[in-house]
Amino acid sequence: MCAKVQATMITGRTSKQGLGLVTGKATKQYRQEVETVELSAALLARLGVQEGERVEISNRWGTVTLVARVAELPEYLVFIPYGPWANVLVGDDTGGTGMPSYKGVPVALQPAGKRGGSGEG
Amino acid sequence: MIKIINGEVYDPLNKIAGEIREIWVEGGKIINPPTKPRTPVEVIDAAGMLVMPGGVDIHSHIAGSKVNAGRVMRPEVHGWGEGRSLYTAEETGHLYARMGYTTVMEAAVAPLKARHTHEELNHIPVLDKGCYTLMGNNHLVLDCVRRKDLNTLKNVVAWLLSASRGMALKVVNAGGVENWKRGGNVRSLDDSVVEWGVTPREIITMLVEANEALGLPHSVHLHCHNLGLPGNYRSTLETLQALEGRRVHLTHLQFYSYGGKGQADFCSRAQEVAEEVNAQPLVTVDVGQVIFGDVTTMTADAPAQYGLYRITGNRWISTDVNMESGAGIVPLAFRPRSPVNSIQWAVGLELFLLIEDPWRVFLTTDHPNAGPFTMYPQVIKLLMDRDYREEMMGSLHPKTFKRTTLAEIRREYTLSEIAVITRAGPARALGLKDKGHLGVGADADIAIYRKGNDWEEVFSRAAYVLKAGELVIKDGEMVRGTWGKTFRVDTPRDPRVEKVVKDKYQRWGTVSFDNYGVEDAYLPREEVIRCR
Amino acid sequence: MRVNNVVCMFCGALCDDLELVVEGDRITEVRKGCAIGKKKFLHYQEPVLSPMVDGKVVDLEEAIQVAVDILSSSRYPLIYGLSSTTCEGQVAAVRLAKAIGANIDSTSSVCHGPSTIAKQIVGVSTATLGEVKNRADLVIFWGCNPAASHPRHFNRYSVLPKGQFIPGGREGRRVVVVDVRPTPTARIADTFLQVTPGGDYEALSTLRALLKKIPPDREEVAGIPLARWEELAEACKAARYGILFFGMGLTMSRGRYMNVVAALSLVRDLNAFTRFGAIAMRGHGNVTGSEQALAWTTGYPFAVNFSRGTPRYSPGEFTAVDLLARGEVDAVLVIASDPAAHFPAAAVRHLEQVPVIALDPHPTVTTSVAKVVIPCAVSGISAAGTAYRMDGVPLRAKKVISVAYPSDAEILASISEGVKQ
Repeated sequence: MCAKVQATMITGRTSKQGLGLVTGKATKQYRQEVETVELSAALLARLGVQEGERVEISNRWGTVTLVARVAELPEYLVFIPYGPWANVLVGDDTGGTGMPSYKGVPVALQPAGKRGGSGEG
Repeated sequence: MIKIINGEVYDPLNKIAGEIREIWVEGGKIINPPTKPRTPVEVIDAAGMLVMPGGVDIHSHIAGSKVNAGRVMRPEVHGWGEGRSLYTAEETGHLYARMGYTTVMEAAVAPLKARHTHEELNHIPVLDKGCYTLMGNNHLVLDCVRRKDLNTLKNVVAWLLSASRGMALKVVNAGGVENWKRGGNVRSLDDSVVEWGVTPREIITMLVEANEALGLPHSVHLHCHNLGLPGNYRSTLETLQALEGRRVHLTHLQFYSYGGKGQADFCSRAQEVAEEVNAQPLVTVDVGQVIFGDVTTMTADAPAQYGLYRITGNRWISTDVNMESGAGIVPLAFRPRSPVNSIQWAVGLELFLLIEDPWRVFLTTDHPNAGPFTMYPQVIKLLMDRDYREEMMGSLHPKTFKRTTLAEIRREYTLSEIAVITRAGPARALGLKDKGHLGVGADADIAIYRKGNDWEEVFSRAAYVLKAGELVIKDGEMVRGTWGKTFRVDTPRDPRVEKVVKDKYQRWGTVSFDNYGVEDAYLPREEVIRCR
Repeated sequence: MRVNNVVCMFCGALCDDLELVVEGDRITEVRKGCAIGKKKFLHYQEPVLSPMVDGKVVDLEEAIQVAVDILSSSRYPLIYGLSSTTCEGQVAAVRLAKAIGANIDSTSSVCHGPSTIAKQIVGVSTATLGEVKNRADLVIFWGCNPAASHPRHFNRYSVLPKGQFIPGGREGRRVVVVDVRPTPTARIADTFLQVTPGGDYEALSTLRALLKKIPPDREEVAGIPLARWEELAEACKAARYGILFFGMGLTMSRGRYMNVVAALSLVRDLNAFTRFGAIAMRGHGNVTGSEQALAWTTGYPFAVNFSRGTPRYSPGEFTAVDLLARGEVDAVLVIASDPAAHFPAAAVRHLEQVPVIALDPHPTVTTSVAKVVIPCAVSGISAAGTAYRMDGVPLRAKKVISVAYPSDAEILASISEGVKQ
């Protein structure tokens, strides 16, 4: 339906992801939370994807397929909660600081097939 | 059982000056020579050596939040060796012990962060320790001063000492730190502390009164206002006069004995200050001798540190501690070619040499402010060896000697006097009856130095150090790691003070009152000094 | 039985007013905590981990012995984590690192490590949270989202409480939020400035320039009209006591520590006009303590290496992500953290290839890839000890209930004993 859309990814803490830290990461709630990508309604429309459907996100580090959730964000920004899926897209270059690029990472988005990938990269 | 033989003993409290004496040790204490020694006797032959009580440092910054913040900010000066001024807890114990020091006081603790200080103190090997509780800007104190309520103030002081597990009452720039939280400071004893309507004079005199009424072993340990400023000798004299006839300890007096109005006419006023100290028999001081090289200045006098940052442009840490205190840290270098630094160096030596009674002037570098404590042996050499002193003066900025009297002073310290300013005197001023001497019943903390021509070398690496009767240092190296105790005072107080204090903390604090005081778990090896 | 004034070690706000109801060895009720804190206390008992080696349940002694064997034969081990344990555990970890010549690094390196590097460049003007409560009339949250990460921060410290000199509470404070997205925190702001990603350094430097009366020659900075930055600069100068809380938005974005250098420089410069402080929004319960404990034991805050016996410090060289991504370490001991869930995939791949020993009370992604799993008591629930709040205030976390497993500190001491034999 559309070509790849370029965006900037940031990762971060959410309350539900935080709950997962204390209730265990084996829970369904934690898994669902960190398997989500937040993006604006406008970006979703450009991708031709409905909320709850999967989006494929990729960059030079890897590719993941996550469930879309609409959020109040600028159109150029996508947000993924900290977790194993976000980490696939985070590079390991720390610039001599120890800190990888968890925020401000360039990514490309496209709709995933209806059945989607597992997301594990 | 240990017997030390053939050593030249310097024990000024017991009026022993260089006599060859035997010293017997058992159970961590010094004992009378037994008629029939029961256990096998270990003999230390101290022939050709000096035997002294273990050193006692009355003012050093060795543990707690600002020391640690300094370490974090300055990885470049961490470690042993030349030019290094910040040490880990373990290094601190080793480096003091190898110089024959066995008791050290951490000079400034905000009660809210006292738990941190004690945690670090517990990780310092060998040494016995204690810490001073900051009170000169504490809101509970300011409130009592405002109401002129000495009785409540006494109880508040007792409570703060207990909550922080402190050894003494410390005052840093009374009222000035509270004003700093609004961007200000105090410049004179009679400036007003904003919102409180009190003056530094009232805070200091009431705290001294409370301290004496409680019968605390150490006097109020006072860091005056105008730290390091040209012309500040006037406020120092004013403070001494305000406290005339009272017992008080003025700390790092070197930083308070300056004349002039600025850099151009900066000069020493050590003579006037020393005269006033000489005239007041209950006053004790430590010097805070400047050592040339890199230092890390750190003090609860946060506004002074902002000033130092503005002058130097160096890195600056400042921490405001709610209801209690503040702190500032600025790296600095003392340079022999700088006229101001050279004069500061000379002022310290003048104080040592012009204050007549060695029992009232103590060796410190306000570590790591004026220099690292590892340089004490150099200061000893400067005091004992006039040739060395003059040689060093020759390398300084020539202006130094027009603006100080150092070049005219002939005095050299004797070994007995050195034993006073490094152990006997500070122990007496702290009220530590079992420290600083070698009489029967004293703690068997003993430093044995190999004699030599160079006093710096002699005092840098002790031949033997016994701590609580155990050999910990041999030939300057650690042979056994032991753990010393922490001194704290305990003084009776009216239990009703708790309610006064609790009410304020619950309203304006952020920590549950029950979690505020330091728990017993943080003083696993303590010695409580009980006051009347 | 009621236990009051319990310290919650979930986040760096270290709330210490929780009330627990304990029946026998179970916590049945938690009052006053946030949703996450409550869950932490109620959840401590399950799911339970058993000591395991290669996925098989073993007894604790055997698990410890295998850990000892791995660490003894390792040539370049890494000890990592430390943020959710007590200082006693952290000190025990340093002792072990020294004994085996290991690298030791904390979660700081992927959290506020860059802020610590910035402190080494600028210093920091800061304050305890009590000063914020009592004095701050201007509160800026920059690149942090306490509404999600420190749920009671607003209530206890920064926004809502009535303070000694802020009698009006919330009304007496202006709250400014700067972020790249409208976070839950932005909803409580009086002013929200939505900057473009990567625009923080430019924005902070612009504010510094405005203080020095050198306005930049452009209409817009970091996606915000210059006039709004001018307004913020004036508001900062006019505040009686300002505070800047900053978070991962600065440390994790391009520029990393330089973003924080800009923030700390701004705050320092503001002290020429008024009083201003900065506080890093440190996350995990005792990550602040890890910096403290490492500093007094090694002299350095994180990224420490003991290969030569004496500690050396080098972020980028001895930090966990780098050591793993470069494939350098040959064994990893993880204490109270979950790098397999939080590190970049490339670092995790190496973690999966070397023997990992995980000390944790609960199953995590890391325990699932670990060769050795050693369950431990939960710090602040079943193990007591010191924890440092984000502002450096130390508190004693309580032991509320007993469990079958020892604390991290005890396990690490056993491992140290083992490697010395």
